[in-house]
Amino acid sequence: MPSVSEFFSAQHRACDRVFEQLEDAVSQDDWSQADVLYSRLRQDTLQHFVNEEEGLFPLFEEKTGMQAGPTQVMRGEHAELRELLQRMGDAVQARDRDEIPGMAETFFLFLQQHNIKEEQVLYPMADQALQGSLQALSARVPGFSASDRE
Amino acid sequence: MNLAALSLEKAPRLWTPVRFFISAPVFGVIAATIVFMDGGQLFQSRWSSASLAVVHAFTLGYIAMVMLGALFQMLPVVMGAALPQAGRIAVVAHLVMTAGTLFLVVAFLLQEPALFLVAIALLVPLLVLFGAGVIVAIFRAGQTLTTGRSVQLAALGLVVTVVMGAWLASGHAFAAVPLDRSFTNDHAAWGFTGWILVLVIGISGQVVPMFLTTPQYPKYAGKGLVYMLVALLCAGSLVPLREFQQLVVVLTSVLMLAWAVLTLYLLGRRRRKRFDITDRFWRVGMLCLVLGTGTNLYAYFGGTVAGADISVATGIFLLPGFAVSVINGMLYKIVPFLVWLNLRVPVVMGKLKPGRKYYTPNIHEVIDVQRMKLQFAFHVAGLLLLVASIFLEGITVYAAATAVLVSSLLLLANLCHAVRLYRKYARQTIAVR
Repeated sequence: MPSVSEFFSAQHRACDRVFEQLEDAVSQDDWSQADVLYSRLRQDTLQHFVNEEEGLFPLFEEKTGMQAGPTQVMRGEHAELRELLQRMGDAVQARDRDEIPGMAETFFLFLQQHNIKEEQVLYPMADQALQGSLQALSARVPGFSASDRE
Repeated sequence: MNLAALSLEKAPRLWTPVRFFISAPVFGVIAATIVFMDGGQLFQSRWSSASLAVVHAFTLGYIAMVMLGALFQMLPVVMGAALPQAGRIAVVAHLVMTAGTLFLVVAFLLQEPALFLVAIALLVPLLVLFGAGVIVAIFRAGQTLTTGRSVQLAALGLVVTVVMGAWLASGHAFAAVPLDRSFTNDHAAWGFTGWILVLVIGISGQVVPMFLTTPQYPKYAGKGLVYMLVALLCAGSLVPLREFQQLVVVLTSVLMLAWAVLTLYLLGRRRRKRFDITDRFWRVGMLCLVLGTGTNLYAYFGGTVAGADISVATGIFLLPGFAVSVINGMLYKIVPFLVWLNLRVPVVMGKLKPGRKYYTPNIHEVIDVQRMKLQFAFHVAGLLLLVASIFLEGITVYAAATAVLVSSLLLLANLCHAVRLYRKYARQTIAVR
């Protein structure tokens, strides 16, 4: 079974790759490919948020007793990221070549600072707090136990 | 480990770091003005009073200034707590830094002992306290931050540089204190390698892979490299044997070249293919680091080109070429992001009524990409003309000064535009999209 850090960080990297491909598709005016990649990015990102908000975070809160701590901050940032993702999607749908780069950059920068905080602070804490509870996590997060390091 | 570190609410207000960032190009304007007034003498010798004034306008007014601003942004996050009174401390630190640097620059130009004294009195306590504060804060934070150790060592390098600088400045200020020019080389080496380069290497380990989407630096190119550089620096300063010092200079140069080439290689392998102005500034910076290391080594072993003082070229490559390029590129990532973030904090913190939406401009609207490209063009032209001014007199010198002036003014305008945009949208509480 992977550690929390390994599994969730790998999902970050996987989403980053889809995002990069989406930008490439847009810059090459390959809109059908862009649509496919955007829906994949949306699906993967939202699934990752669900994995955290309904799997990792409640367990973390239960084990540490911290209800209003870092998980609350991360939930707030997820809400912002959902909106940015939506605005980027609207721009892709509208084929708005002026709007997409700016929205993509905004999404990307906010996402990266969010990921740094999760990877450097929250996940290492979760690795400690959830020792011995990884089975419980695997019951809530699809693919957690089955996946090795990606 | 402090959890409050995660909260955006702990981040300081926009103006706290930005007042430092906006001052940097003002000192670029001052440097360009000195070149104008000097008319080219300073390109003939690193010892002319105008060269020393320009060097310190860049190192203190531009480089240290931005570093202070960035630390005011970063330290609360590292320490996991808002610095009490951070806003007010920033106001005072900024005033002292600005005034101290101006006094030092004018002191060099006029060779006025009293002005050196004022500069020492302002800059030394500020920078030594700040360096010590950074070192303590990171120790207290106790996190295994990848960049933490390098930032601490850079702070140490800054303190050593400032203390050496204070001694040299005393040589200008008091007849009783000998002005030991050979000491200047140690001061410059600690300033560039021990402070600036160590800081840039430390920060790059995090910033380059994440924000410029390159592969990771290899493990040994982070902390290990920084430790080696600092160890070589200490050895070179403490052991006065000529052959040994030559060995230290060669080894340090090899490490610098290797790191610059590695960074260029990584930048060449960015996964995002889209144009990124920070990437361009960093490539220019790394290229200048390669060239500056080369000219430094060449001049150290007595090489000359057309009878010119090649150490002036080293100064141009390493300060406006490397350090200023890298910082300029960083400012174009940091400032638009901070403006955007500060506008969004109420939303992210969940302080909006549900169902309401704010319209926030996207990051490219904060500073227009075309305007950044224009400033970049003048920056590069300025660098080329500065180097050419070592060999060509007259019109080239004035062209160089003009390019640096325009580049600095454009950077200032771009940063001011970002702040104006913040003010405009921050007042506009509810807008409909």
